[in-house]
Amino acid sequence: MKALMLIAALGLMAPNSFAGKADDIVEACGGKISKKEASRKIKDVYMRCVKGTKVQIKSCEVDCKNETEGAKIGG
Amino acid sequence: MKKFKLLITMLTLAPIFAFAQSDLESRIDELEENQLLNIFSFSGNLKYMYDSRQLETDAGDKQDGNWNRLSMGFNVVAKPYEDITFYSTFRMSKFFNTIFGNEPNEGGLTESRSFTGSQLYVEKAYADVKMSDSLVFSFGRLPTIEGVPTNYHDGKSVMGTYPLMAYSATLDGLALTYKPLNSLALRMVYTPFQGAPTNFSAEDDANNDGDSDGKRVAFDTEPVNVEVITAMLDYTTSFSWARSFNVVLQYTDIPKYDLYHAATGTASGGTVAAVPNSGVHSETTLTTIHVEMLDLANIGLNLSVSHLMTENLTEATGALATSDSSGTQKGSGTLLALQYAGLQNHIFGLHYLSSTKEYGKFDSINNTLGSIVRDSGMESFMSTVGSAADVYYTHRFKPTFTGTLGYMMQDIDAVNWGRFGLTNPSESDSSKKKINTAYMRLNLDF
Repeated sequence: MKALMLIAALGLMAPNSFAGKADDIVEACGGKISKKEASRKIKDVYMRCVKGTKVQIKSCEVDCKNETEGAKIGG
Repeated sequence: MKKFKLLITMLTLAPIFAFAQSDLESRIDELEENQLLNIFSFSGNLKYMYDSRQLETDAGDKQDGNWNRLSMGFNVVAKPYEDITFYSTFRMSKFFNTIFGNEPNEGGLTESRSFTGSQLYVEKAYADVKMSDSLVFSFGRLPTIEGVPTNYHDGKSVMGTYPLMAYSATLDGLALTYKPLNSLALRMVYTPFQGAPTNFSAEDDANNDGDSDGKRVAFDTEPVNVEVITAMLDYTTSFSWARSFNVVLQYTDIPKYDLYHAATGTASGGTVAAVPNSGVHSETTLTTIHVEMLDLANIGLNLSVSHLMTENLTEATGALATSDSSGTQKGSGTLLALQYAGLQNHIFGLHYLSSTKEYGKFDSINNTLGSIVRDSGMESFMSTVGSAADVYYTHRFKPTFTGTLGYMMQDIDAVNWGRFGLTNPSESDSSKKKINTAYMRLNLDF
């Protein structure tokens, strides 16, 4: 009971959490990889891949999030 | 009593957590503010090219050569306002250490890609100004080079606005893009060409000196303006059998202009009188149909087909019309690019180009006959009058670090060159030749 109250109190005082890029990758992988592994692949998913392709992370595939800018006039 | 103690403990801890939260928030605020203040982002590209080429003319003459080249580009993107973005590329392209300092040197519309030396050129410098959700105004040095399928070799995303078949030049201009749908873009691009008053030497151009004494004849010329306009429809959708299906229809009009700058004034060095109007006019249109299908049948097969039709109308009735003849020349070329990128780190591909003798390509790289050494480049591959094929394998050492091995075969019926970077069949070297090139590339994007 005490522990629950303490957790509830801490929860109320804690800042709202927002999902980051690593969390998005973990979610896209259905939780098959850890957040640490996802963090290591952020550059691959957001910077290095070809838009429209998949990025292989262990046993899962994540959509490439790399936005190509400055290639087409007017976006 | 125990509950009371617990409550006291919580109340004691609360300010500590509150302070921690406040500290965290201020640090996040600081990060966000710094992010807002930093309007720049940077990226770049380094490319090494090795070409081993063999040339054989119809007369049986052979010429072999190996060439090492280097290209480096540095991209800067700035977002000074929410609705305005500036894009730029500064590029150097050069041959490796040259002995005689006489490596091919061609400026003009592709100077950043002409391998002229270690100087840096502004290859791209334009701004997109979002006027509404569906309307964008752009101005500056536009991304009109490196269109699809330039990006296939290194397994990259699309790099340029116009299909490679339609344009291969860096153009300054103004553009309006209307996007009524996410999948549809309609563009009007205004890229005026202009010439300041200059002293014009007739003998320097097609030996058309207008007299019979063989002396150099020069005229003072008037300013010249040619209002080149391009209309473009760019539609992208997807199907169950193709992740991306892109159709581009592009029409470029180079309106009627005086080929010899409407020469007026006093002739010097010769006996001919002033020519108020050369009487030689030209008008050109380029129509491109381009279809690209990515990830066909979901197996990583990409296919791009481009067809370019050129029409060049020449009127030659004036005093300088001794070597130009009136008439309409229609040419066409088709480029097929097939790429298999279904394996994680391996890309296989081929290009095939077929063109008619009157094929005129908007490409200044092949602007002179001296460009023989450059025929191993993709752009000159594009200018082949005749047929050309290219097969390659690209290995991804890292996601953005690739190595390519390829073999290119060009069966050249003629070499065309002309003005506006547009190859002109009326000024053509009709000697046939074959060029076979084995090449290697290393490409690093960072």
